[in-house]
Amino acid sequence: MKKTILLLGTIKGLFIATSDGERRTWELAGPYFPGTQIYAVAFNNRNNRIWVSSNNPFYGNELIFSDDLGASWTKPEMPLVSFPSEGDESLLNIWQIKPSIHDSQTIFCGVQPACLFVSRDGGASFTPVEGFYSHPHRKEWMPGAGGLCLHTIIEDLDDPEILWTAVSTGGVYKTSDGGVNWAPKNKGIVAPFLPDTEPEFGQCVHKMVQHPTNPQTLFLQHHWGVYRSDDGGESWNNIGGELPSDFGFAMAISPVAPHPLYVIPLKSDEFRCCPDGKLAVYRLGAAGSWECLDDGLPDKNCYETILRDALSVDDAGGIYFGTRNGKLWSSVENGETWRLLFDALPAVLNVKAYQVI
Amino acid sequence: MKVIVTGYLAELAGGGELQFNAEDYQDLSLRNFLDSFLFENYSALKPRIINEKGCLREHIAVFVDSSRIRQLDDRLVIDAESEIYILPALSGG
Repeated sequence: MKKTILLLGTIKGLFIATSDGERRTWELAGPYFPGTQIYAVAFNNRNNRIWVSSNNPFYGNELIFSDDLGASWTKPEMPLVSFPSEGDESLLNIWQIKPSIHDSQTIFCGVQPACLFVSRDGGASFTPVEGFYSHPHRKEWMPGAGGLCLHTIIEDLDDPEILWTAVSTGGVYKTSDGGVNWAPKNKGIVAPFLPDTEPEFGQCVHKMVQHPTNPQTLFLQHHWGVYRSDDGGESWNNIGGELPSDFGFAMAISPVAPHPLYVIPLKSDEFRCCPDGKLAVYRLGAAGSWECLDDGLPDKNCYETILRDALSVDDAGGIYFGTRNGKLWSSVENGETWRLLFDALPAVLNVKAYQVI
Repeated sequence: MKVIVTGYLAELAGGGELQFNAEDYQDLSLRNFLDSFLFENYSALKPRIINEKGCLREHIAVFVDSSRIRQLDDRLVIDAESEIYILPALSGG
């Protein structure tokens, strides 16, 4: 069985956890780039390259890569991602790195202030996607507590011209022509934090995922509400009614059939910790009902926050999430039981699971 | 005339004390010195000290001798005896 690696981005650097074939024993390496905030990581399985966004509070952002699973790293002398100097914006962070599923030379980055960048040369250089960069809505978006960020990039499974992005706070935007034109796709998503609760844009999408085999089916965790679309984002329906709270950040969908969806509810946008001191993951089954998965998780005195990219799944039913208190939980049995892998990491921003070797 | 950098900046520059020939920059503003001499000779330092808009990064502290410089003001003139310190500011954590 393949090993699983977990890329663990924290507020104090990157860690890499590597499992044995059974995912019972884990070894932790790092911190890499200590003292920097790792908001985005990605593994490109086309060339086994790990990409890391290292955000240094003093010196700015660096996009770094490794071709040997972290044994050595390449730091470009000059930053790869930066806004045009003639504009009035400067890069504050990279929130998402997305190697294309369609070709080996295309890599997308979602950044703060919210914008989409792309490389067409394998990551040697990045430029803003012009249609996104010049979109008239950009100046009207508002930052959430984490900053004004583009945190989700989803490609259509067949057509490379189709992309969905999600911005906090701006909402879902889709292009069908390779990035020239972008349209908001937020119909049905309620924004109770705005006077007009169903605006064309301005929704605070926290995370969005795509069904692994049906690209028209999308799910998103909103600032309030868990939503589903079966028409590529043209319309959305709230499916979070049975959850203990439909507020939260993290969301993941399993690549393993029947592709359950996972969320971790948090109580209210003013508290942002798990409800009633009880940590639980919820799974949306094929029948459309939510199941509580909490065997092995703390059921009292637990006040954790799980951030938008801190929940991940692997290709063999493994689920992993990290908390702002530095705990890393795992289940190798589709969430039926949970085990604490690491209990004192720095605050976890990002968890990405990949099966390698 | 010298520039003192520490930590990651020193790593990028290959040393923490960077010497410059005083005759080259008589009556030069700090901004012009950085652009024409420091960044010209140590290009990797530029994006770590200033952002795309040319502004000093929020958590970088610059001192000329013992005076804290808040903005890279064109009017500030350095001289042959100046010592420029470029340091991570305490505000950065």
